[in-house]
Amino acid sequence: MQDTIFDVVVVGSGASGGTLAGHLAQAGVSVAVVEGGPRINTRTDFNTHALPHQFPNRHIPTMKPGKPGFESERARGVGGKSLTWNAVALRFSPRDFKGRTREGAGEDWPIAYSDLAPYYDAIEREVGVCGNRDGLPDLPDGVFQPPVAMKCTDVAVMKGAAKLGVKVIHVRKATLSRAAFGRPACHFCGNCMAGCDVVAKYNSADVHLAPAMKGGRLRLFSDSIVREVVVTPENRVSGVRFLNRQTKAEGEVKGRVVVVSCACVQSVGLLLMSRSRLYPVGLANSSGQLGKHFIPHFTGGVQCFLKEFIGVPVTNEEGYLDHAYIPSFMHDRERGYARSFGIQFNYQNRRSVGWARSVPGFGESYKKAVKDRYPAFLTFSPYGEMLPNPGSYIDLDWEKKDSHGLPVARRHVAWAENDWRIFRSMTDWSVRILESAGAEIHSVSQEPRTNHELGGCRMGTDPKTSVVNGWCQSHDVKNLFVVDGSVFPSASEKNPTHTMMALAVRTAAYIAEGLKRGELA
Amino acid sequence: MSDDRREALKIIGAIGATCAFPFSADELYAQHAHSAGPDAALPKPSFFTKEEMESVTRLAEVIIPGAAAAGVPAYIDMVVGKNEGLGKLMREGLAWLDRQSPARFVALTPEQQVALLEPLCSRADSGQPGDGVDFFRAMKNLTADGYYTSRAGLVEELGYLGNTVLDRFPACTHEH
Repeated sequence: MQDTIFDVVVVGSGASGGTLAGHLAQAGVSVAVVEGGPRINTRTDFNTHALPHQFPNRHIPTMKPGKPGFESERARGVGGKSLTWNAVALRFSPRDFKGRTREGAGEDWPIAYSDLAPYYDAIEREVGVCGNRDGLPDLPDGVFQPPVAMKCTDVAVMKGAAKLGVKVIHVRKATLSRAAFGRPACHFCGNCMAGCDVVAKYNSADVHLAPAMKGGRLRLFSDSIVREVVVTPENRVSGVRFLNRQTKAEGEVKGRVVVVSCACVQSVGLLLMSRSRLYPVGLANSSGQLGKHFIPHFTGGVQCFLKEFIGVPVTNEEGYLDHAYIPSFMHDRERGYARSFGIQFNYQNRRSVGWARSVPGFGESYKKAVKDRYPAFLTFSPYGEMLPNPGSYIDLDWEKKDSHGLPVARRHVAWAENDWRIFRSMTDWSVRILESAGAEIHSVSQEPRTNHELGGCRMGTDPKTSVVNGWCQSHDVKNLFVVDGSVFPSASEKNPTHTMMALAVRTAAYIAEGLKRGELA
Repeated sequence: MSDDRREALKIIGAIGATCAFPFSADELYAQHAHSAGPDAALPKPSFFTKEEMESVTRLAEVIIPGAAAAGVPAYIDMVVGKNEGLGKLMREGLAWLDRQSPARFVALTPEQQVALLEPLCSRADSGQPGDGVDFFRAMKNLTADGYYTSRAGLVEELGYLGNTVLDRFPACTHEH
């Protein structure tokens, strides 16, 4: 095993790494996937269908008793966050790639929508994305399975939004609305983010990695926490060194090409901790840009009760969490800020009644107020695009080591004026839309929260100001690639995973071609 | 076999026929059915004294009628026992409450108990500070958390209907 040299070593097995590895294997390339977490059986290992009252502290653990993963430090599991994502699959639009050209703020991507379009197609054709072809210029249609019906409460929001000229569409999700690809259709139990146990919702372990392993071209190293990407004096990467999650034993996997795909902050952290004589401040960091331009999405939130549903009989509205979406509508309106926001809503699970805490009063009248509002509760989560600023970056805390002795990656986020303007605008619009839909507002978030981590390893044409080129290839080390959200030079307001997966397919094709021509190895 | 169960098995059977990730119909149904079980057993109260527990039980019941039978007092004891700050707030708050009238809180009539809590609640609801307000806020939060995560609160009182197998998601058919 020590002597095996794989064509490609992929660090991470989530939506990006899993997709990339699956495609490389399909192209006939030998691949090693090195994942810090354990293998997870999605059929049996998650507490998918549990309710809080089954646990004394009312907290549902992600994993069943004795099943490792997700709960422990630096160990998620084979499949990464694709196992517990909400599966919203939106294409970025042409505008999202050219933000600087269009608005003079932030950055352009070195690639255009047309470069990625065929790869969005490929993903939709192989994993299944359901949605409606809405014909919107700013949210390109794809190859969709039929959409899932909206909830009654979505229809109420749609009517309220329409009065303000705001469009509500069917959400687009990488969850099957029809059985396909040997996977069943969604059965609407409402537990998507607890781990879909029938793989109606896409996850990389079952959809991309398992078939490739069966084909014999992909070898999985699970429970293997990568601590260094090794670079030779000839300025080539030669593989990775890892620690076993349980035994802490050292190991190494060698490859002609290395791809770092272990999620934004961890990918940046791994490169920063891979210090060498050639790269004393982090691998592929001759520009000093590694970790900078951290641009996670930010969200706010409004909780409300739709008046027309107060006191009505309860129905089963769990579905597959959110069934509708409000695409960006501000990007071509007068607005006093750059970029825009989109709104996810009505994704709350009816088993979570945390809002009952802040319903006024006590006693029988309080209890009735909660019961009446139960079918009417609805959450709005607008997502805004952050612009890069010097106060937002990722670095390593060399003083603070995790249980494996590795420095902990730190997130630094500073909100700039443009971010606050978007935040205020998206909050105001959320309240306006909900009031227009006849809502009683329950709570309004006053501060942005981060989600969808992006940036830190951004792609660009200039090696002085970016870490990778338009092929996700390191400017410094030609056989090193980074493929995940960290390479996004600008974030869009749209959920990022679909774009990461399209980038993964495109990069896999580029690497396979490069290996064939002998240009990479 | 109930009609519900037969129906669910039929649906799962249809799914199973095309699924490359083989699982038995019973297995999936069993996971869903599992959620119909009773509340997990709570540890015997160990943080509060017997007298304190009497007060917690009565307070929970006044805040949400039915909370005591739903096991909320034992839940509160467990949560509070694991959080030092909360433990101090609750313990001092219970003692404070007993000092507000000549008799202990639990010895008051229900009307007197409500009259004592009402000003605390209205201050808590409107975000005004005051003696006993933080304690009441914590007590209400704990009671709401415990009750609405219990089977009695979530399933029986609110009527939670999710976590089932649907062969399709029904479209909205009524006028808005």
